[in-house]
Amino acid sequence: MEYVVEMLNITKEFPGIKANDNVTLQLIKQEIHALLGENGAGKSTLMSVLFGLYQPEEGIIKINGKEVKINDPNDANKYKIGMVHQHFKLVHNYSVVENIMLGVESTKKGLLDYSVAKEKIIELSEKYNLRIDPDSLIEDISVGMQQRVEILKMLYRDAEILIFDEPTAVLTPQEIKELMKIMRNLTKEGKSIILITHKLKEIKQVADRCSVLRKGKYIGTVGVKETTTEKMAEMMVGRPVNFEIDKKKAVPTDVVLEVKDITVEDTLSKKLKVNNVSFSVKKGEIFCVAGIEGNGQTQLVEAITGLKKSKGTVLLNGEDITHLSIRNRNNMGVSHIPEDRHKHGLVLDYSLEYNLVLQEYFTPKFQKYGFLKHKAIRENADKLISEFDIRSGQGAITDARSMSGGNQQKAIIAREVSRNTDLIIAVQPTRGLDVGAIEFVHKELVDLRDQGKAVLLISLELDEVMNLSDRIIVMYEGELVGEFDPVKTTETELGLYMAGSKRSEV
Amino acid sequence: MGKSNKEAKKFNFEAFFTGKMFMDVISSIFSIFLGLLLGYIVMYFLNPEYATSAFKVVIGSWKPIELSGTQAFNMGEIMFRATPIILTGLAISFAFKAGLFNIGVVGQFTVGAVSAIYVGVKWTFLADVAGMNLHWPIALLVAMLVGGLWGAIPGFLKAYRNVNEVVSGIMLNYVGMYLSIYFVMNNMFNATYARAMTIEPSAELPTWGLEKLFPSPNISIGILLALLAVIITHIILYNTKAGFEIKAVGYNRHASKYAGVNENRNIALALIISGAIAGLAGAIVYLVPGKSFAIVDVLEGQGFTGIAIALLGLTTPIGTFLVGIFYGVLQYGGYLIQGNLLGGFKPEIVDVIISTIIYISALSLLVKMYMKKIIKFISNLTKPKVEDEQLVSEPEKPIVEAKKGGDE
Repeated sequence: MEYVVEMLNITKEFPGIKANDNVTLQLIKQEIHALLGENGAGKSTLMSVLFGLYQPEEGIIKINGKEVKINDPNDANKYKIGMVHQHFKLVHNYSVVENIMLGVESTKKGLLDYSVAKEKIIELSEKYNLRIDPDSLIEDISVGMQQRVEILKMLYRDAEILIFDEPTAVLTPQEIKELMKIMRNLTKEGKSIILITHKLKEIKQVADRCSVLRKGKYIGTVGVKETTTEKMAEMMVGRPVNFEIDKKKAVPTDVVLEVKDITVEDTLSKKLKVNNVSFSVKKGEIFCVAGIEGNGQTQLVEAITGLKKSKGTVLLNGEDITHLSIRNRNNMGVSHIPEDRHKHGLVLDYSLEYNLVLQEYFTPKFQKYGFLKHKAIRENADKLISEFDIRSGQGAITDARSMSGGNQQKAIIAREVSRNTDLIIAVQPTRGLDVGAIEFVHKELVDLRDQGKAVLLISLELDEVMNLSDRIIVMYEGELVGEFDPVKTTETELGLYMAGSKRSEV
Repeated sequence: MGKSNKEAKKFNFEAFFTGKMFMDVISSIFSIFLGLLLGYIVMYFLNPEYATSAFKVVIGSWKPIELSGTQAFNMGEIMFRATPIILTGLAISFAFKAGLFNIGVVGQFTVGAVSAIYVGVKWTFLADVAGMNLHWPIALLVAMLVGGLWGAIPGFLKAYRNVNEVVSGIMLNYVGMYLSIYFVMNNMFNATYARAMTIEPSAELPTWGLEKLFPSPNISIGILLALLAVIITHIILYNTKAGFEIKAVGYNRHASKYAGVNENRNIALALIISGAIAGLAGAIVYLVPGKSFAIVDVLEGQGFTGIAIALLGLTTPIGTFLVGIFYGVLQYGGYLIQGNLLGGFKPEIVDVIISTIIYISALSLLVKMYMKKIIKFISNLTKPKVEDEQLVSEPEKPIVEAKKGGDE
């Protein structure tokens, strides 16, 4: 077997933790090799070792059978290793050509020579079927095309080994399909690919083999065709995982939240981020707003919760809350699991117990004559910690900053759910969480629905949208473009609406 | 099970010594140590013969020393010097908790001082109100009020117009200084000495018998007021709803807004309270016998020193108090070593020490990094050998698993 990259028995230690513990990764020429693992399993560390950003304590790296030492990213370039980062590293007001040649500019008599570069780029894009528009600016092109520019950047530097870091996170279903075609094309033309992901479905669709990491340890490598997604999930998590969300049919009753003609203007550009949106959410249903990131979902939630000023009317249980303060809205029965848990959800430098009373510290339960009742705060924390299984180093007094993402999210959910409100707004509640935590969040949301709460879910993950919701609306460029019943629609159909290529009057 | 217990113990050991509080205190102590060392070196170059004995006096100025011609008041003098610094440091610390850098303490200090002097000079009717002397208490209150108002300007600008409080603070320092001079010249100018008029004796802060405990002509209840302010701010910050909100806004403005905290109100409030504390400091400095406000266009130094003291005190009220007392010790030590018997050093040597300490404390990140390495090294040394073996033997299992996986 001919291996283009071999990382043998790599061990990389950080103070107090072994990020990679005896990990082996062997990449066969012209294969797509998936690297699977939860957050914090050591995928990025392993790739950083391959890129020369970290030096491993133990283990060797072989490129094309020869042992090499990679000291820095320049060495990695020399060995023709290239990476497409999850967050693209592009200059937004530069053109496609300028971005691709940045760093390896071709010159003529000391002046930049665009024509040579452009010729090579067009040639490459035709060869690998990467549709791009070489002269347009990055800020004007779609996310999918930006990703193709990133891929071209590597090809322009003659990379043979391509690493894709969570490449589908920002794409629509159609774009994902196209990316997969591109990846197969690349391997056909002789390139080898490492695909970092935690999405099993995509591995099943595109990868040849799959190596699994769990908590820094190497679990094994399997041929994708010979295994099932369930088996891979078990390897990743360490126990059988239930992907099907158990839920009964929804029994929606009274309307809790009614939104009428909400319009939100961007403070700087004066563009309409949300344009005349109306809908209502009933008790006992999970109502989902689907859409690609940046199509106004964030602003819509800000308008409902009061974080941003808006035009239109917001009714909660029939009462007009449009002009109330955030505090009053919260007290009237709005719980909000925010999109960005570090920015909005938690005061990271506060202890867990303080964070757990962030919405209630001013109530008589936790203060008297302006003095905090520390004992009650501690009891509340201990109760929620055991009820929601929030794990942390020192219990109630742990700094929120030092907790894992999954447990931070559990803390927020515990705080919001324990307030027992009629409406729960959950914005991307599973973002960045590992499989176990995702299971927990999904179960919690379904439970809330069954208790007769109204759940407004904003999600970018189509799987989540399809499995969890009872009703779906799609937002595109700030407008509602369609309403769907998850039982009757397909991911493909939703994808078309999300990308703006189809719309129906709602 | 036994293994996991051991791991937990090891974790706790490292966690404590690499914990935030410990590291912060260590790096403060380290900066103080280096600052003193450099001060000593400078003294040695200036006057090798007296350097050691004079240095001992600087860092031990609370101990009685017998020097002919210098009467050592010690503790009383130390407290007199520490009081304004503790208060300005406290003002800075408090604003820091709300995430604000109140560099405007200088101006708030000055306007507080001048308004206290004005009350002390003019409002003589307060000396006997129904048999009680309300003169000095009212002077203190007015100083706090005016200082708070001066803090309210950058406070409201920051809260409602998002004007950087450092910029507006610096500007208002000069406005405050020149306005004070203008006010003094027009209302209570003593042309002979080019100073403000002297305050009435009834406006002087009482001593309440403190002079018996700490004999010194400069002792007053100022130090008690400073201590009281420290205790009150500590309680506000750590035990009340208001403190919860102020700190939450300081740590994360967005999360506070999300939780329904009126973050603008809290920002303004924090700067008002901070300004009031600075105003109190100004009043305490000038409500003593023999001190009068000079007409010079120089910003009062206590405000700036307060920044340094607050930072060294880890921007906590109690830390600020302790460091403030330490500052008093150094200041008085610097005063003592001017005598010929101790080599006739200039008191500015103390400023060299203090500025070095601040400079080093700015490098606290570097200190912390090295400290972590050293602690890790020590904890590795002290680890029992059994554990080492476990660490070696642990990874063996996954290798087998891995090979299996690879063969599939």
